[in-house]
Amino acid sequence: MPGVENWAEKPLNIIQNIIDHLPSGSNEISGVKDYFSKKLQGEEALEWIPSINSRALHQVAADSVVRYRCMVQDMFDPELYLARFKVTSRKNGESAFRSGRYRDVASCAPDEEIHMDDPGNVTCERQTLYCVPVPGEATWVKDLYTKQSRIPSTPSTSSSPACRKRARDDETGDGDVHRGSNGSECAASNGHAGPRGGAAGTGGNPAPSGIAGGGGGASQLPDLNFPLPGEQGTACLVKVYEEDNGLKVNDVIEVVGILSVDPSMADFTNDQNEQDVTMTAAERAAHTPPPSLVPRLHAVLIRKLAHNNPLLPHNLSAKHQAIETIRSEAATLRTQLLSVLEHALCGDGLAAEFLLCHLVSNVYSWADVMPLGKLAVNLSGPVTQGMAPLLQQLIAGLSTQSHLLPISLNKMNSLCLSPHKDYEANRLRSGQLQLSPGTHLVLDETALENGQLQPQGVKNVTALGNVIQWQKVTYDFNFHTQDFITDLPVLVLSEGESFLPKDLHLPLRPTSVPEDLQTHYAGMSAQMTEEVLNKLRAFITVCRSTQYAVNEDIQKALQEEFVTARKDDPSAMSVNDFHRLLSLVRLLTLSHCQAECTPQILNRVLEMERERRSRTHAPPAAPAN
Amino acid sequence: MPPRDYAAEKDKVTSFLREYYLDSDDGKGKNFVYGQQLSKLAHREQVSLTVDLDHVQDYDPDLGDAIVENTKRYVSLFSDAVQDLLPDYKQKEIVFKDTLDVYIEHRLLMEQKNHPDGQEVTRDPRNKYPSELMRRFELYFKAPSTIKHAAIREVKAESIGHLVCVKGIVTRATEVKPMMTVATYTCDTCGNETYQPIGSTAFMPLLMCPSQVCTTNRSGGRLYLQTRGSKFVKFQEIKIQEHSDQVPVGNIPRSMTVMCRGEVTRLAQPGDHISIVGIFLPMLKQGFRQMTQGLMSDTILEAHRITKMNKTEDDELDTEGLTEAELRQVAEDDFYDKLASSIAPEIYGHEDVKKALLLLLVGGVDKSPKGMKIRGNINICLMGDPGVAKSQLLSYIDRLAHRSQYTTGRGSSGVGLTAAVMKDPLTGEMMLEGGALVLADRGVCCIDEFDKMMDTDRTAIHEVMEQQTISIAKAGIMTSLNARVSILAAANPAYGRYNPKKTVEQNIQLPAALLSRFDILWLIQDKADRENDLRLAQHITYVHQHNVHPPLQFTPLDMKLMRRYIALCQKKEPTVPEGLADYITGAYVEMRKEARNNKDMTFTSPRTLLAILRLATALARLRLVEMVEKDDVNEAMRLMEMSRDSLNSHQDGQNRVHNVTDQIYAVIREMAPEKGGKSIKMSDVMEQCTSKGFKPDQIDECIEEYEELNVWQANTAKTRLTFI
Repeated sequence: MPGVENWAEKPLNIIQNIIDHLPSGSNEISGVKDYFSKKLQGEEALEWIPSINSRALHQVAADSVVRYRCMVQDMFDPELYLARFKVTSRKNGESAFRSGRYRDVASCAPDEEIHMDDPGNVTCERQTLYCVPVPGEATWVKDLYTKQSRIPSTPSTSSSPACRKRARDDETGDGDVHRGSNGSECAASNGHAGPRGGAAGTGGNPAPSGIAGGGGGASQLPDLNFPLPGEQGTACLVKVYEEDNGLKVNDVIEVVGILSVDPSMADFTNDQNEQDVTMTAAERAAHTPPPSLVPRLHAVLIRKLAHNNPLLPHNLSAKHQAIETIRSEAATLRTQLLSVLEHALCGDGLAAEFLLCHLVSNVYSWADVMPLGKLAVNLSGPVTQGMAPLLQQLIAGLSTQSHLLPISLNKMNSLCLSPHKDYEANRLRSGQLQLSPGTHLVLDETALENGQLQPQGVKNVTALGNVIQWQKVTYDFNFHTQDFITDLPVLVLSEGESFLPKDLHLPLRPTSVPEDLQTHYAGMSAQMTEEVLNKLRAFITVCRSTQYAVNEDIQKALQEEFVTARKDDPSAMSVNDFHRLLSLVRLLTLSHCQAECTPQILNRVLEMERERRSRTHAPPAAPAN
Repeated sequence: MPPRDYAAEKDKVTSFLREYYLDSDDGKGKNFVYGQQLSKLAHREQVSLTVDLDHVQDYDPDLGDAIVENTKRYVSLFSDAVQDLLPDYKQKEIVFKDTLDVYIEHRLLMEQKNHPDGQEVTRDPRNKYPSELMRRFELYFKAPSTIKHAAIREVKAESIGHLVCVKGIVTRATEVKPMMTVATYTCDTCGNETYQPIGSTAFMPLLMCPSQVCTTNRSGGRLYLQTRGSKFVKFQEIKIQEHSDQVPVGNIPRSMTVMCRGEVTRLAQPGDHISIVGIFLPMLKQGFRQMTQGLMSDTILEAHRITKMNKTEDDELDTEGLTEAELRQVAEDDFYDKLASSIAPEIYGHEDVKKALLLLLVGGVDKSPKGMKIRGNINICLMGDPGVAKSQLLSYIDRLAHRSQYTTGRGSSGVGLTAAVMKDPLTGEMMLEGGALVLADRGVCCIDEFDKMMDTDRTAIHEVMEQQTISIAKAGIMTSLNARVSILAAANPAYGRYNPKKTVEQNIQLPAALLSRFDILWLIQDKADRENDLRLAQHITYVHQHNVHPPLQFTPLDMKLMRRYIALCQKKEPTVPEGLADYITGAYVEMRKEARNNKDMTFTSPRTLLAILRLATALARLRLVEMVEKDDVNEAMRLMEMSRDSLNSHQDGQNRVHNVTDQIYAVIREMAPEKGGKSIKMSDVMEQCTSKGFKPDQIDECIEEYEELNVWQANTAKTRLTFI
C-alpha cells in the first residue's frame, strides 16, 4: 500500500513538516491530529497499522505509528517538555527550531547542539497515562483482533538490520494465527491460559543487555502492575498531548500513536552518588521503567471503546451490515444461546433465562448514587461445586472480558482487592477489582471454608459487597478514600444462599446431575463451532447496547403489580424487589434484541419471578433423579 | 515588551522597604512594617523577612504584578536591596551567634585590610564574596490576597516562574538535611579562598585554583573544600497531593514536589492539610540524564510560605454570610416545613422524621450551670424494618452536615467508634487515633447498624452521649478526648421485623440506659398503603426510565444554602424565659402521670424533659431568635409525641395481657449471664419473678411463649433455662 509508508513509518518527519507549515499561533496539536484522522478514516485504514497488543515490540520499528488497545490503570503527574527548541549546527553555525512534540529524545545530528535556555524555546506539558492491556480480555478477542490486522506477519519494512533477527519470532507469530483458527476449543477449554504468544514474548525476555549493564538494581524486573495476577502483555506509558481529554481511570481506549523505545530513556542512575532529590528509587522504577519493557507511546489519536468486540463496528448505533444480520436472527440466536446455557447449568431452563439476562446486563445510568441496569445473580445449590471455573470459561468464550475470583478464606485475608496508592513509588497499586466496565466477574463462593476473617478480609468482603450493591470500588489513598464507579456484572456461585449482597438469588434445580462436570462441559464444545460462537458473541454485545424504552401501559401494569402485591403483605414486595422487577423487564427485552417491552415479556418476567420465589421459599430440595 | 531595567526596579524595591508604612492601630503615627523588621534583621534577632505582596500592590501595583510573574528574580533583587540597607539600620554592636557570623566578620575585615582602596583588582571576579555567603537572612513573599488557592492540576506550564498558591495534603516529608548554598575552597598552593554559589541540587566541585597568583605562576594549585567556611541551609522536600474534592470524577489525584529551605522547613508532616505559596520552577536534570532526556524536566515548587489548615477552616472559606435574597428565600412563612422537606427530598413522606433531623443538625444550646455540663446536642435513633430508607436518610445527613462522620456500628477499621492507639505507618510512632466519634467532634456522627456495635464501643458510647467526652486509658496513654457530637443512629430490629408487642429494648436489644440517652427514638415502619405504594412505584419506574429522580412538587433548597443557613442558626443562643419554665414543668408532670397510668413501651424520665428543652431551643435557633416561645415548646412536645406514637401505634387492648409476659421476660433476660453458657437455673427464675409479684402460672406461660419463639430452651426436667 504505497503512500501509507511514509506517514506510518516516519511520522516524526511528517509532524515536523506539518508544524513548520502551520501558521504561527495555530494549535499544533490539533493540526497534527487533523492530518492523522484524515489519513485514518474508516475502520479499514486502522487495520493497516500494526498493533502492539498482538505484536512483540521488537517486531515494530521504533518511531513508527502503532495501535494499542488498553485500559487506563493510573495517571501520572503531568510532565513538562520543550515543545520547541533551538539547535545550532557546529559545522556552519546555522540554527533552527525543532519540535519536541511526540518524542522523548531530542533529535539532532551529532554535530548539532541544543540550546536549552534559548528565549525562543516553548515549554508545554503533557499527561502520562499508565496503561495496561484490558484485564480479563478473552482469548478470542485477542485472536480476532490479530486476524483482522492487515499487516502480514513478516514485516515488510525490513530495511533496518535489526529486522533480520526477528525471523524466528515470526514463526511463532504464524503459529499463533493458526491456533486462533480453532479458537472455539481454545475459548472453551483454555480460557484462562496466557494470551497470545506474540505478546508474551515481550514479557518473557524482557531485559536486553543494555539495561542489564545498568547496575545491580536493574536485574530485578519492575512490577508491571497488572490488575489481575498472571496476565501478560505489554504495558505502556501513553503520553497525551491534548488537555481536557476526558479520559478516566479504567476507560478502555484505543490509542494510535508513535512508538518510542529509545534505550537511552532507561534509568541508569542506580549508583547512589547521583541522588535525585525529587524521586525515590521505587518511584523512579515505577515512572521510568526500561522502554524495552514498558514502551512510551505518544498518542496522536485516542478513542474510547464503547465495547471491545472485534466482530462489530466501533459505533454500534450506526447502521451496519453485521448488526442488521444479528438483529434479524435474534430469535434463533437467543434459543441457541439459551440451550447452551441450559446445558451448562445442567438442564435448569429458568436459571439459563436469568443467566442470559445477567449476560446482557450493564449499568446504563446512575440515579444519584444508585446504579441502574445491573443484575447481580447468585446461583446456589450443591451442583455449583466446581462449576465456577467451567462457567467462567464459557462466559469468557461468549463475552469480551471476564474474570474468575474464587473466594477462599486465605485469599480474602491475604489479597487486596481494591486498588490503593503506594506513596513510596507514587503509583496506584492495582487490585483485582480494578477492571474495565463490562467485565464479568464470577465469584466462586464454594471455595469458602470456616474460619476467621482478618481486617483485610473484612475490607475485601466489603469491597465485593460495594461492587455488587453500588457498583463502586473504593480506592484507598491512605489519607482519604475515593469511590470510583464501575460496571461489573457479578455472578456468585455458592452452595447455599450467598453471604454477599445480590439482586437475585436462585437455587439451581438441575434436571440431571452429570458425573463429571468437565466432560459435561466438553460435550458442549462440539456444537459450538467458531461460526456459531462468533454469532453468539456479537448477539450478546448487540443486545447489551440496544436502546430500551417502556411504554405507558407496561409501566401502569408494573405499578399495579407492585401495589397489589403489597396490599396483603408489605413484605411480599419491597422497594428492592421492585427495582429488580424493572431491571428484569428491561434485560429480558434486551435479550430478545428488542427496544420496547411487550406484554408477553412482562408476563414472562412475572412468571419467572414467581417460579424463582417458589424455589427460594421452598426448603432446599434434593436434586431430581 | 522591552526588558525591564532591573537596576531601576531595585531602587524601587529599596524605597518600598524604607518608606512603606501602615497606619498604626491607634490611628496616629506610622508603623513602618519593614523598617522595624530590617533593624531586627540587622541585629540578628529575626531570620526571615516576609514581604506581603498586598503591601507591594498597595505601594506600586506594577511592581506587585511583576513580582508574581517573575518571582525568582525579585527574590534576589529584594535580597540585594535588604543587604544594602542593613548597615543603615544597625544601631548597636551585634553578638556573633555562630561560626558563620565570625567567618563573615573576618572576611569583611580581611577585605578592608587587603584592599583599603575598596576596589579589588588582583582577584578574579569569581573569587569575590558571593552575596549569598554574606547574607544571614531569608526573604519570602506572601501571596496577595487576590490570588486564590489553586488545585495542583490547575498549575500548568504557563505558571512556570510565577508565584502560585496551592493547597493539598502532605503525603511525604523527608528529614531536614543541610544543603550547601555556597561552597568554599582553599588552595593548597596560594592559600586563597574560592567560592562557588550552588543553585541546584547537585554541583561539580572545582578542582583548579582560579586565583591570579596560581594562574599566572601556573603552579597548578589544587582546591580543597572547606566545610566550615561553606554556607548551608536547612532543606526539606515534601510531596503534596490534591484534596479529594479537587479531583474530577474518575481521575487520580495529582501530586507535586515542594522544596522547603531555611525557615520554611519542619512546618508540615504527612497527613497535614496545608496551603503553600511558592514559585513553580522547572528542575533541570543533571549530567547524563540531561543529555538523554533533555526535552523533559521535572517541576518543583519552591516554598515561600506554608500554612497548615484544618478541614473546617477550609470549609469556612465559602461560608460567607447569606445574601438578602437568600435569606428571603429561606425565611418564607413555611420555612420550617420547607427546610425539613429539603432534607433527602427524594425520600417520600416522613415529614416529622425530617423535622427531627433538621433540629438535630441545628442542635440545642449547651449549658453548664455551676460546672455541670448539660449537652445541647440532640441524639436521634431511627429504628425500623429493613429497607425503609434509614440508611439513605443517614447518608443524606452525612452529606449535608457541616462536619460529619458516617460509620457502621461495627466500624471497618480497627479504630472503631471511639479511639485507638495505633502505629503510624509512615513514621512508625505510636499515636492516638480518633475513631468516628472523635473525628466528628462538633458535628454529627451517623452510625448505621447501631445495634451491632462492639462491646468496647458500647461502654464508651454511654459516656459520649451524656458527658460528650471519651476517656482513654490504653498503652500508657490516659486522656480524655472531646466528642461533642450529635449521634444519629439507625438500628435494625433484632428479629428481622419490629415486633410492636415488645418493648423497645427487646426489639433493638440495647439496654435502656443507652436508649434513654436518645432524645428521640423513631420507628419507621413499612406499612402497606395503596396510595403511597402507587406513588412509590411510579417514582421507581420514573427513575428507571429517565435515569434521574422525578421532579418534585417543590424545589428543594440547595444543599450549600441549607448548610450556611444552619451555620447561621447555630450562632444564636436562645434562652428559656421564666414564664415558660412553669409551662414546661407542668407539661412534664402531666407526661409522667400519663406514662405511669398506661405503662406504654417507652419511658418518660428527667431526660425527656431535657430533650424537650433541647428541641425547643433548636426550634428557636431555627427561627433565628433569642428567646424560646411557647410554640417552640409545643412543637417540641408534638415531635416527642409523634415519635412515641410511632413506637406505640400498633398497640391495642389485647396487648395489655401480654405486657405481663413481657415484664417477666425482661426480668429473666436481666438474669442471664453476660458471657459464657447463657443458662440459668429455673429455680432462680421462679424466685426472682415471684419476688417481683408475678404468679407462677404467668411465669410458665412466659417461658413457653418464648420457647416457641426460639429465644430460649428449657430442658426436659424444667430445671434449667438456656438462651439461644
